[in-house]
Amino acid sequence: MTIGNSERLPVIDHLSYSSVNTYRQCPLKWHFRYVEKIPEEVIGSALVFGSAVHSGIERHFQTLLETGKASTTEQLLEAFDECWTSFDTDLIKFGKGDDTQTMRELAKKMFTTFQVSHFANPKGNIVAVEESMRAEFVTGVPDVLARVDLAVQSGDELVLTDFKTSRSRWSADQAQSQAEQLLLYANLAGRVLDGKQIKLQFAVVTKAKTPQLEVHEVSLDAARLDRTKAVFSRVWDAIKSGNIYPAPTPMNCFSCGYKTACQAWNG
Amino acid sequence: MAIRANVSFSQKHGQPDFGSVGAGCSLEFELDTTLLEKDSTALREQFDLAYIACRQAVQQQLTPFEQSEGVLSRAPVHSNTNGRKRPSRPATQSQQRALWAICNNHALNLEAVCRDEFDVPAADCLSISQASSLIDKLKNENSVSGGAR
Repeated sequence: MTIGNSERLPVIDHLSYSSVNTYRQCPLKWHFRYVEKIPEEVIGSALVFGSAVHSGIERHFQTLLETGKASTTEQLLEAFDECWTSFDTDLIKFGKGDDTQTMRELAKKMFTTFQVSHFANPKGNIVAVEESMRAEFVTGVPDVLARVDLAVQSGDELVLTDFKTSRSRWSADQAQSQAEQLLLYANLAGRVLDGKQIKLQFAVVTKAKTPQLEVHEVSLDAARLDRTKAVFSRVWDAIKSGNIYPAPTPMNCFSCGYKTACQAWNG
Repeated sequence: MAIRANVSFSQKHGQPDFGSVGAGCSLEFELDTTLLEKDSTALREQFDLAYIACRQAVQQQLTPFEQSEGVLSRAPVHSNTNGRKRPSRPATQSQQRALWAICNNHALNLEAVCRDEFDVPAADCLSISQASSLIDKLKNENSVSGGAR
């Protein structure tokens, strides 16, 4: 099961921020997901919920691009439901007190908060909604595939936004600490999209009784970008070397969908 | 009963020193027979969407070859492939989807609109800014002269 030498290297066509992050958390989980492609035994409800809310937001901006008009809350919930049912709902693992209905009600509140925010009606031209971009990020490392949630062009400025759902509000420092993903996107978008100046931001909506939406701008930090490139390079070196091992922590293992495969693994 | 449909799209880009790089994508899928009998417009839409998906997949594969640094950066800003000029930063997938949806809603032929407005054969030959201005124009107009099916 381990990737012992170059002859047994897995066929990795591309990397993504998510795949590199998974490797950093647990190389064995990365192997199960991206090499063996084993279906997960359980799927955390937070992951399904985040994807479904993303689908609603995507529907809003794509409709805005196509018609110039905003979607209704019902239309956003329709997109939410479509995404939710695309998962194997029997596998969804809910947190305490949560179920499909409570999460749908929460999504409705979050969509309402989103719809009345300035973020829902950006100034400028929407040029990309959930857009896939693929390009070389680091020489000698497979191409990186990224999905930009929203790109809006206003004059010479291109604003890239990544949409997040979070249990609590983010601080400015927290946004800056999560900047690696946006810096990577900026690097790819600079070559794929127009825009002399790139502005990066997170739009964070809280999963609270009264949701709040806040936009956090993130600075373009060249040193941080170089560090991100170094991380990708080292992770790729580790993959090539066959460094596959479990990295158990309570946080990693609690909602992991590969418990059985992990326990069966013997190197 | 189902109809088995097969859609494929391939593209080749010229490279410096008489080189070339190409990519292709084929999709095989099943459609309900009733579409053929009762709803030829919906059938055509399914094919249009399949072609868009194939075209986008192919372009995604070819994009790095157009924009990489080094030898390839000496390639002209507009690569000319079989008479089709493609801008260095073509319209995004979202813009192409939006153009397709707007034209579909207004019974316009997207390729005809692209030819009329920018003298290009398809939406993927528009630049990002051309696509933006075309989307704005189509949204503000009920019809476009010469573009009707």
